This record gives sequence, structure tokens and C-alpha cells, in this order.
Amino acid sequence: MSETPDSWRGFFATLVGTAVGVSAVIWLFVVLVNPFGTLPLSFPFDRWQVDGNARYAFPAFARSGRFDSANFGTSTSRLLRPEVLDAAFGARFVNLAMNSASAFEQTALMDVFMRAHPAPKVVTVGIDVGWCVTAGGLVKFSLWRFPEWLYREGRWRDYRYLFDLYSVEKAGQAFAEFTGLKPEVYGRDGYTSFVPEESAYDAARALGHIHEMGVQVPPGERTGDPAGWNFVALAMLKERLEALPAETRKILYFVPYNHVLIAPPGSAAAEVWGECRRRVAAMAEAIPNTVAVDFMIPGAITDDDTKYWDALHYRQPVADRIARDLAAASRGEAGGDYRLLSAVSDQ
Amino acid sequence: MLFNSQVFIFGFLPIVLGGYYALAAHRAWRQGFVVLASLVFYGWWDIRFLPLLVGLTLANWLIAQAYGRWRVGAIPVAGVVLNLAVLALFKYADFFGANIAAAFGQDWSPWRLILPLGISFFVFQKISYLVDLKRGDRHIYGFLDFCMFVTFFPQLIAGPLVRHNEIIGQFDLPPRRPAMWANLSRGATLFIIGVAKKVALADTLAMIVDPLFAKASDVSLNAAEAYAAAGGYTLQIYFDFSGYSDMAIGLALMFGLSLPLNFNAPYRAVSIRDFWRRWHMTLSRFLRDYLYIPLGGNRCSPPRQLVNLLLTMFLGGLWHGANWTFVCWGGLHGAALAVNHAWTDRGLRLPRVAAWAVTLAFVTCGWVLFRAPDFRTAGDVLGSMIGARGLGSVRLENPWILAAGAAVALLGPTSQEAALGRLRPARWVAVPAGLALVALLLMIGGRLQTAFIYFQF
Repeated sequence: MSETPDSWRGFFATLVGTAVGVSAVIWLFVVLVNPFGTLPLSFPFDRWQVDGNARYAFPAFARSGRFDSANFGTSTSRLLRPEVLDAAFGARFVNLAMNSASAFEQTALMDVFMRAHPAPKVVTVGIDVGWCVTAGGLVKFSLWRFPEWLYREGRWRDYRYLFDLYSVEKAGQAFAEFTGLKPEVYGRDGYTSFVPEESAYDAARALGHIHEMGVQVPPGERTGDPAGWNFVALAMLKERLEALPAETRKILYFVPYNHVLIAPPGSAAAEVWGECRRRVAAMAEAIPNTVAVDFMIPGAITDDDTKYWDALHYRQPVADRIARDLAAASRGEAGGDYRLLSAVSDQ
Repeated sequence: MLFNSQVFIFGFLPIVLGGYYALAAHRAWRQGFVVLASLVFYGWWDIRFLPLLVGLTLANWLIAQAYGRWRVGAIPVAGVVLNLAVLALFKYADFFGANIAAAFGQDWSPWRLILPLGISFFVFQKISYLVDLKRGDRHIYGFLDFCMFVTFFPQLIAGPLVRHNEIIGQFDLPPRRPAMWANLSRGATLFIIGVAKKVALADTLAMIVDPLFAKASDVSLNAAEAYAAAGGYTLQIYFDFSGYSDMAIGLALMFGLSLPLNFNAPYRAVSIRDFWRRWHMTLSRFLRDYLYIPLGGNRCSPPRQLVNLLLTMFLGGLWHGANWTFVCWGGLHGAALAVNHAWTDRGLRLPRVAAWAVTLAFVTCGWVLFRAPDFRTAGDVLGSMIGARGLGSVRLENPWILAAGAAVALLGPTSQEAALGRLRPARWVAVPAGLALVALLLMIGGRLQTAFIYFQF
């Protein structure tokens, strides 16, 4: 092959042209499909969640005008069905609970929701171990990839983040689902059941999973008087709740861990949880229209192993029961599954 | 910004390359433009790094000017001292402070100075110039030439360690010369190979290596895990560093400038001496020319030669990082070089395959010490490799990458042979190269995420 300047110019032009042309086509496909639903311009599909990693999918839900209320938390709150919450509260809920979500991730999503909904009707937050960490125990992210750019203000800048393998994969998946080539997998209101069908429940198998775990101890440094402990995650939560208007109904609920996870009375872990409860209760007392509810207590739910798939995750009928209990608790009504940690104030 | 980042490949590089060739007819303009672009490139990481780079460049240029005018030998010596002092301050202050304090039973409050990126490289580059002046080199360069020599962004952060007389003469060459398109094509191809080594191989290997070394810090590995960790890291560090060098050399060639080669299939070496002729070649020759030979090199008694080798390699190890593990790693290589010299001086020979295997085994064990955070972890991993904790088994993410990496490292042409030697201007090569770049750019943006098996009810 002759090596003339022209032949090398052709080589270079072909290389650059291929790279630029193919990159442009791929990027255009991704941004027009808009797999995470946040871009200003895209194909006018009827959209739903296509991404198994809720951290990518939920910012679009948090911004959506279809909802006026939201539930936040981890997988211990994911099974609360918005349709049950809607009926119980007379609201339009989105369930924004994410598997293994750290306090940072949850507050980032709260910020997105609150920017789009300055005066939501109801906000519920499932309190579990991640919220009761003390200084030094706070982790920013979980094992799931967290796209911080999706949580910032200004949707136009998102275009620069969509040239990657993950976005291409999700754009292909979204295109297939939105055009009917593949069935819809995830929900349109944040709810997707991650547990098997109720008919597949196997109590013996569940019991095995339940006993794979032990007492949950919030991580972090703690010395001296518990009153002096620094509950760093709760401080982040308080900041968000204080930013909400008084007319927003705010409910903080300790999730119903199975009894194997609940700290036995008198233990060091129980002392941490006890102080965390006091802090949450104090927060609820201090912030208008806020109530703190405790499902993490011995009782008909937590003591009954047949109500769980594993020690963290209760079954769907229990989730529906908790959703209704939350509404009752927010009205100040007593219940067998929970106890109120704070007084209920009316607005 | 990193070479293997989208902002560099989509933004910085096209703009700077375009500007450079647009200003090609004006030497001062195109050089000034590249120097400014290089400062932007450097400041992109942390603007606080810039004053040191600019100040040290200016100081060294003034020192050279002063020497050119007065020819007093103390001037370049003072310059070398200044450069070493800066390096010692930013890179080694806490290391030396902590060790001296510990020797006297005292505590050391770390200064925690920010470590300016690439300081080890650009300080050595300046030292080599000043030492050359002291040795009689007559080159006193103009301001722009000197600035471009020091700051030229392809080699600024991690080399190759370019000597002044290798590159400054090339600044005279007009970029729009007949070889321009060949340089752009070969440079771009070598750059893509470098990105592939870094992104597809090294970063994928890191997914195997990092968890294993993290685990080794807490608990002992079994033999299978230890070999995966050691073998994986042996490949990872090679692809990471040689990939970076390929990118640097390829980028420079796109500007019409040739940089010295830095790697030449080091894992095919059949002795430790051979290894150091193939691994980080520009550092090896720096240590040889500016440390080993001035110490007496091998033109002295065998015991003195041993001391020279050990001292050179100890300092070479320390250059890699302020930690005793690096120093020890360097010392081990120094000792191995001494044994190698003694062995060959006596006319002894191993069969080629055995020599290769022994060399690679030594290098691999050395990398364990280099990678481990402390001696305990290194000893633990090495102990596991000799079976102290049973054979065991290991589950790896992407285990195929080990075989693929080994094949690339041990077989086939080197990247520079492929891009600078064998490459022909065929479009059937250009299209896959362009597609490979797209795939790598997508990978740089973010990989696929394995769906966690979060619940196994």
C-alpha cells in the first residue's frame, strides 16, 4: 500500500469521521429516547420506569406533576403501595424508597422532590438504621451507582452525561418497552414489588433467611452522655423537614424490623436506638404538622416470622396494613402495630 | 483532566490540535498557544498547582540564563538543590518528618501539603537539564522553548521523562510538513491503543485486584486469591502505565513531536537487567545517567558496584512514593540487579524459558510489595502465594481479563510496533479504530452496572 500524504489524510479523516459520526448517532438516540425521563426535549413517549437502579429512575418521578405526596426510605419502605397510601391519605403518592439508600441519597431525592413540589400534601419517611447513624458512621453512597448529575437543578446540562454504556443500554431498553417490543417491568408510581408472589411464600424458607441476620446497630462514634451524641443523618433530615411548609403532613416512621433485628432492652444497641427515637420524637415535636410513629416494637407484626420474607422485608399484606396505619397514626389514633412517639398537631 | 476522559477527547484535544495547526506558520504563536493550553490542562485538576509549576519553570529558566551568561558551576548546582528541595518539601516532608520523629520517640503532626500532580516528573526533567549544563552542555534555550519543553501537556503529568535535547530541537520543525497526516494518524492510533490499555484492560483488572487487596488488609487470602491479586496487579500496573505512555507519545506525535519510548514488552524480559531496559525506560536511563554512573557505576570494585546499584534502586523506589514499601521494592530490585550482574559476570546462563519464568516471578512478587499498603499485607499475600493458607478457590468478576491481559502482554506486537511501525493507511483499519474509540468513550462515560442480586428469597 502506498504511503502518500493523501492516503494518510484519508486514513485520519476516516478514523475521525467514524468516531464522530457513530458517537453522534448513539448520543442522539439516547437523548431522544431519554431513558431517565429528565431531558427537556425527547420523543413523546408515554413513559415509565425502565431502570432497575431507582437512583436513575426516581428523579423523574420526583419532578413529576402527577404526584403531590411522597414516601422516602430504603427497601424496608419500598413495598408501601401508592394506591393504598392514596386511599388512606386522600393524596397522590409516589413511592421514592430506594434499595439500600443512604441518608445522603434519600435527602438528595427529597431535595429534587421539594424543588418540584414546594408544598406537598404528605411526606412520609421510613426510619431505619441509616438514619440513626452517628458521626463517623455516615456513608455517602451504597453499592448502587448514584448519578449526582440527575439530582442537580437545570435539566439542559444533563445532555453531557448521557454518552456512556449504561445510558445506551437503558435507552435501548426504554425504546423497546415504550414501543411495545418488550413488556413493562417497573411501575409508574415508584412501586415495584421485589418479593415473589404471595402464593409462592414458603414459611420455612423465609425463617432461614430471617435468621441469617442479627441485631441492627447503627454505626458511628459514640462516647459519653447519649444526649451529646451527634446523629448526623437526622440533622440532614431535620433540615429538609424544616424547609417544608406547615401545611404539609410529615410522618416519620420507624420501620417494622423483624424481632431478630430489634435490639434487646438494656443492650448497647438498644441505647442507640432509644436515643435515636428520642431525637426523632423531638424533631417531630419541633416541626409543625409532624408526627413520629414507631413500628419497630414487639407486637403482632414484628414478633410473627410468617409476616416476613426475611428479617428486613415484610410481606405485601403487611405493607398495605402499615400504609393504612400511617394514615391512622397521622390522625393521632392509637393502633396495635405501632406507638406514637410524638403528639399530633392539627393545622 | 485525564487523557482518558470525554472532556479531553471531545473538547480539549480537538480545540488545542486545531489551534496548533491553525497557528502552525508562526512558531512563537503556536508554541505560546500550546504552553497556555498545557497550563489550562494542568490547572484543570487544581488551580492551586499552577503557581508551583509556573514558578519553578521560570526559576529554572532564569538559572539556565544566568549560567549561560556567567558560566559559574555553582549556578546549576544551586538549581538542582532548589528542585530537590521542592520535591522533598511537597512529596517527602511528612515521610521524613515522621520517620525522624519516630527515631527520637516523638510524634509528628503531618503537614499534609497538597502534592502537585506530576511533580516527580517535571522536577526530574529540570534536574537532568541543569546537570547536563554543569557537564558542559551548551544549550541555553529561549523562554518559549523552555516553557514548552517543561509544560508540554502530553508528557507533563507522568512522562515519558523527556530530555531537553530530545525534544526542543523538534520545535523548529514546521507542523504542516509532509509527514503531518501520517503523524496525526499514527499518533491517534497509538493514543487509542493507550486508551484501550487503560480503560478496557487496566481498569477492568482493577475490579479484580482492588477488592482482593482490600480483603488482604483485613483477612488472609488463600493461594488462589493471592495469585489472582498478584497476577492481576502485575498486568494492571503494566497496562495502566504503558497505556498512559502510549497516550502521551501518541498525543505528542499528533503535534508532530516524537517522545522517547517508555515500555517495550517488559514481561517478556529474560533477566532483571533486561526488565529494566524494557520497563519505564526513560526513568531507568535517568537513574543510570544521573545517579548510577556518577556514583561510579560498574567501573569500580564489585562491592562498590553493589552499593551503587542498591543506592540507585533504593532512591528509585523512593521516587515512586513516600513509603518504606516503595523503598524496599526498589532495594529488592537493586539486589536482584546485583545478583544478575554477578551471575552473568561468571558466565552462568539459564535456559531462556526458565530465565523468563524466574524474572517474571520475581517481578510479580515485587509488585505485591509495591501495591500493598504495608509490609504486613504484602507479607501476608506473599505467604499465601507459597501456600501458607491452603490452595482455596477464588470467584472473580471478569476472570477472562486475566487471560486476555496476559496474552496482550506476552504475545503479539507492542503498541508502538503496531502504531508506529506496522500501521499502513488502510481504511479497513481506520474504521475499526474509530469504532474502538467510540466504544472506549462510552466505557469512559460509565460502564454497565451488574444488577445486584440483592434479595435471594
